[in-house]
Amino acid sequence: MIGIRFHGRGGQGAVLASKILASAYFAQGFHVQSFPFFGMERKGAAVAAFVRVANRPIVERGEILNPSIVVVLDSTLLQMVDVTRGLESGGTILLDYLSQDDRRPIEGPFRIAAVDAGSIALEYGLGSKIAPIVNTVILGAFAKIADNLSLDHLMAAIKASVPINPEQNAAAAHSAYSAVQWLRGEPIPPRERLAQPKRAIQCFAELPTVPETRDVIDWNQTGTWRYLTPVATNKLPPCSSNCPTGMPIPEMIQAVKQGDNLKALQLALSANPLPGVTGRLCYHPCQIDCIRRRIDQPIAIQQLERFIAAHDGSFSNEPSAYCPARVAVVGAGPIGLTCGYFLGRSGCRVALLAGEEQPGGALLGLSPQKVDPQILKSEMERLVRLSNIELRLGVTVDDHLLTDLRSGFDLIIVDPFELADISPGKHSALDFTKSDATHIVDKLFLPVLPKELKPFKSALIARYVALGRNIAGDAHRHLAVKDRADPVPSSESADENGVRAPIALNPAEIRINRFPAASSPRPSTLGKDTIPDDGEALSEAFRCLSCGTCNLCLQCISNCPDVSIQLSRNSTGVSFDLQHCKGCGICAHECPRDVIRMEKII
Amino acid sequence: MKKLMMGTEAAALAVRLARAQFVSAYPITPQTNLVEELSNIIGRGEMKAKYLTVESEHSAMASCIGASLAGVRTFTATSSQGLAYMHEVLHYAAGMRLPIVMVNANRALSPPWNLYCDHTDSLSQRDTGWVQYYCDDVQDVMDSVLIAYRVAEQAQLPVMINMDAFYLTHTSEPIDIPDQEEVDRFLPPIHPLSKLDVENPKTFGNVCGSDLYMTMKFKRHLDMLDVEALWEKIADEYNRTFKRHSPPIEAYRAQDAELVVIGIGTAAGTIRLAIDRLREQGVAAGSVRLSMVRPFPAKGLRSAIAKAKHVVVIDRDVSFGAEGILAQEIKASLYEHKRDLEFHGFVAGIGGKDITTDGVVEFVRQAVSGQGQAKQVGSSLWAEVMP
Amino acid sequence: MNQDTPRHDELMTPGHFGCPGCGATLAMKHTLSVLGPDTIIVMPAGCWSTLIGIFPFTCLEVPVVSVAFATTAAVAAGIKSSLEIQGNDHTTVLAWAGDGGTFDIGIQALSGAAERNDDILFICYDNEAYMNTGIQRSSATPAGGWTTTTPASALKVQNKKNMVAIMASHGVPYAATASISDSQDLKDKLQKAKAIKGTRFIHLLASCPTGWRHAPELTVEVARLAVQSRVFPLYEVIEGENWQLNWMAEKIDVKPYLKIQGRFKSMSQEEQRRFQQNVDRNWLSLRRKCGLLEATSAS
Repeated sequence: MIGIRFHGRGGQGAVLASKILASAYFAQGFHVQSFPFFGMERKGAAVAAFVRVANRPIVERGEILNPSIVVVLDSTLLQMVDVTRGLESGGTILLDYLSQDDRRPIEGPFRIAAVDAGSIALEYGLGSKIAPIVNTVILGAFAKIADNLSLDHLMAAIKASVPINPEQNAAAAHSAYSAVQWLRGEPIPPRERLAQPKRAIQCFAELPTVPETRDVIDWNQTGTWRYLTPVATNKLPPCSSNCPTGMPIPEMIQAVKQGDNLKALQLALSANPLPGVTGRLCYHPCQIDCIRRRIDQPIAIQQLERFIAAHDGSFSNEPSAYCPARVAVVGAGPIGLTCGYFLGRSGCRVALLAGEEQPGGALLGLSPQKVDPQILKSEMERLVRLSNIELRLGVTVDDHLLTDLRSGFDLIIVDPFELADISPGKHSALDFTKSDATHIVDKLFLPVLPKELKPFKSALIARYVALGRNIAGDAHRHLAVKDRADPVPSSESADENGVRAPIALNPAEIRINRFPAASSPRPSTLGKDTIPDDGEALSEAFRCLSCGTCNLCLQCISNCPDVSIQLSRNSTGVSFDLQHCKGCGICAHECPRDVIRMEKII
Repeated sequence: MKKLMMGTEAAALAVRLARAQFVSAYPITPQTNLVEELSNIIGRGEMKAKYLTVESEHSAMASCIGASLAGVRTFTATSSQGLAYMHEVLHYAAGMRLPIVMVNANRALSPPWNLYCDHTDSLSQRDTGWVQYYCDDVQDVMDSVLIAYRVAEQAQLPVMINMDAFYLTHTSEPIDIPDQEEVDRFLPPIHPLSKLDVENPKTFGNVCGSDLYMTMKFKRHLDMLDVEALWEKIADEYNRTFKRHSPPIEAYRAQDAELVVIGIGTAAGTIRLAIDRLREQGVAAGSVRLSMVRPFPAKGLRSAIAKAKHVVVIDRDVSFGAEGILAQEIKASLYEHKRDLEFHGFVAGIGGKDITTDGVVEFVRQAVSGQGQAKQVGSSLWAEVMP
Repeated sequence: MNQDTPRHDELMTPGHFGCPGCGATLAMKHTLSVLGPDTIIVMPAGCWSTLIGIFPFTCLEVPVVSVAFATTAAVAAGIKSSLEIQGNDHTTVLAWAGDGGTFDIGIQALSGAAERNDDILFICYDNEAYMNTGIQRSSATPAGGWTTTTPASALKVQNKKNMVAIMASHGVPYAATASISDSQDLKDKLQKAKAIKGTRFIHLLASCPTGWRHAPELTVEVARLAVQSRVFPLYEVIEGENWQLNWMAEKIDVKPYLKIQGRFKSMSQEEQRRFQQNVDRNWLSLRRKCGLLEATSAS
């Protein structure tokens, strides 16, 4: 009599495979017996099934302790279960996975055969990419290696037993019959087995009298059941995507919701040093695609920006990095100001030069209705203060200036709007056409202004700020290479896994009916020119849906049946207990802001 | 203090003296008087206990299980159909090792409907893991309930005290009622081994693998076997205080007997009278009353019938398709030790048919001579069936 | 409906044997987060008694007893009596049974306890079939629902038994429906129930991906659709006679609810229509009980 043991995961069809095999052998005239391991079958959890085959009636019962053949439907089980247990010396193991190099993933005196069952299954449309149905495929391989089972009988048994797609299942088995190979290579060291079940009662003396438990079961790593793993990554919502400066808008609004307006300001300043200005002049593309539109009205982001900017930013002016360079920025318009700000924040010693008696450049020419001069002044004062910029005002901007600056500075950046005042004519050493970020000639960096930004248009203020920042970034990279300064910190948000480069949110993923506001719309109460007070700002902030950005609404944690999500310790989001998470995906589905995705991770 | 009391009243009084804290029962003839008494006693405040008027026997035992596992002394009572209805939860109570005490009035199982004395109800529950004791008079009812609580709480096993329908439940006899203070000394407050306690949370009775289950059962079996000696010890202690002995097994003139008659319940008294008459007639007869049927008092039985050549067993019950239950049990128990015994198993007194002194004498005669009125069917002799 | 703020120190540990996406475990998690550690749980045979863990391990950090199938309410009554006798009137005794242990085999003991007004909180986590034994029909299975004992060739004909109405007719102080999809509503009801003495009953919808044949990530969504399309309305009954609707759901076709569950895929058009009619009829009846219908108005 031969004993065959199947190992699979709940839902993969290991039990059906054992029945089909028995059926096939029976049709050939053998005596057979097949049965599953009697216990709960849970999707993804390890299960076993058995078949006895003999030439005489079988009267033995119970688990086959010493099989001659072991069939493994899912080789991820090798980490969870000792599939070789009781297997006789010289016995056979059939695996579902064929690695590239023919090596044997199991040590011991066994013959090992393998077939890439997953790929064959998918070829014949059995199951899904995440969970291919390999049970009939593996049986085809079995027929080849067993040498006493006829493929024809097996295929007939398959067709008679499978609930759907009988032809494809039989064909897949046939394909596996040809594809299976004996592994002849050297064994590779076994992967470390996951923690084994705790044994709390070792002997009679330790038995309780009353049947009562001793301990909790959290040592049980149900994470092994998982096919898909949740990953929490903030995505860029339409507001932040549309904002030329890339301000982290949902995070800023979240800070306002929490009453932490200074944090909101810091977040704004990390991308845009002039929020009070942009908050009045910008054409607010952030609001154009605001998802809240689907309920009532977009969030009054610009008004909130105004509110945030009005707070006292007496933050530390300690630079965030080290940079030994001295940089001169010629031109104190929004481009120059922003460029100087970011260079100063990253540690460079910046001198900002302007012909006027005050900084501002083109901003100085705007009417008070457009932007209150007091606001402009305080915005620039803050900018200068936080970046340690040395202002040199009332300077004559001409090519002499540029020549002089060379001796005192490592890099000279000229705001494109200032170039008009500098004629290249007299000094051929200044080759204006060649100088840009890739060709900084003789310490001179002359950034180019995109066509649509000339002449100065106040509504496009955010573009100028963004441009100033990009210029600073280019300059800093140039200086870093030269002087080994610290690299410019990325402006992109990193998730808790340290992954950068956020992806954009697909607005279609936001199901608006998941938000309570959808059933009780509440439009904005802020007018176009309102400078909100605390109450109005708070009220408006609460209208924000925080698309793509975890705001700790904790729907994921609340809805996790396995208590496997917690607040992240090192980021403002959530983290997953991968030892226990079963990959059900409720968290991903329930997250109303599309922060969590289920991914196939080995 | 001596008083005239029915079995049911005595049982209710014993439960009060034992200071049971939770009573839950469903009425069934002939136990009704017991539960009515108790609900009165509790209603009058003479017992600090809760009486739950449940809607079935199954729930009666279930609620005792809950109350006992939460840490109080519990009591219930039933009979025949009600006991059968409880069957599933009898297994549960014993498996959960709960010291519940239950009085069962031995009554015939239906159909056909019959309210009178018969032991099939409790004997067919002998595999549930309950300790089983059979009273022979009303005094024994009073005493055994008190002893039962001590045994139950020490062994952590439930105890079933059986009394014959009508012969004990509805028969008044003079009994000596123990003093409450003395009972309190004999039976201190309950101290559960383990209980439902929010300060020490555990899960009780969840799914168990084969190895552990097998060994838990083994442990339970060992603890059950120990109850024979435990009951003896506690009955001795009771005897020292209250001057009445309720041992697991009672031999009467059996020391030198060549023929021993074995029975349980009230028939034991009748059997003793028959023994006396037989002795007068020169028959070396004796009797053994098994007060305890579970655990089976193998040790006591062996020593009680050391000299006997004939064993006559009177079963007030039958296991259909085999023979009387006591006959089977006794034969099995004695098999290893005495192979030259002649067994005579009588099935009598079923459905309330009286077992009389004359009747028992006749059984003995028939056993010895091979001639008599009882019908031989397989291994049993059935008394008084219609021709 | 509102979204709640969850506790982070749960009385339920991970590592249990619930299926991926199990609604019953969510139900327990929410319940314990309100009832807290001063709770004793009685649970009969069912999904929970097997997923809780294998002896000697458990996933719950409150006392639990796993009882014979029909006995839940009786054992709970016994425990409560026992606590009271010992002078403890604060510990909540929670009877936690599935639809089998409540609607069918457990109904006698429950009716007895309710009639006596025993001081227990009885919660039925309803996955609408005998799931633990392999998805067989119960009296809580809706008409048209596939189960292994009501296969496609013989779908269930009878309508779902109305357990809350049965409890209300016992005159219990508090009876209510709740759903895992509306956890704030559930938690409010638990708080309310916790403070009442006597028999309190909550009928809690706990969707089941394994038995209802839907993707595991949709567990909460399915329950939500049940509530929104009025298949499982949220309401309370105080003292058996004061019916209060918690949420006036707008009329939504039941088709989306039926469509995402494989257990309804064998229903014919006619059966689907009857399903909708039944939902509408029950909704009308409920509104009438809640006093929300004028004598002259139509549905």
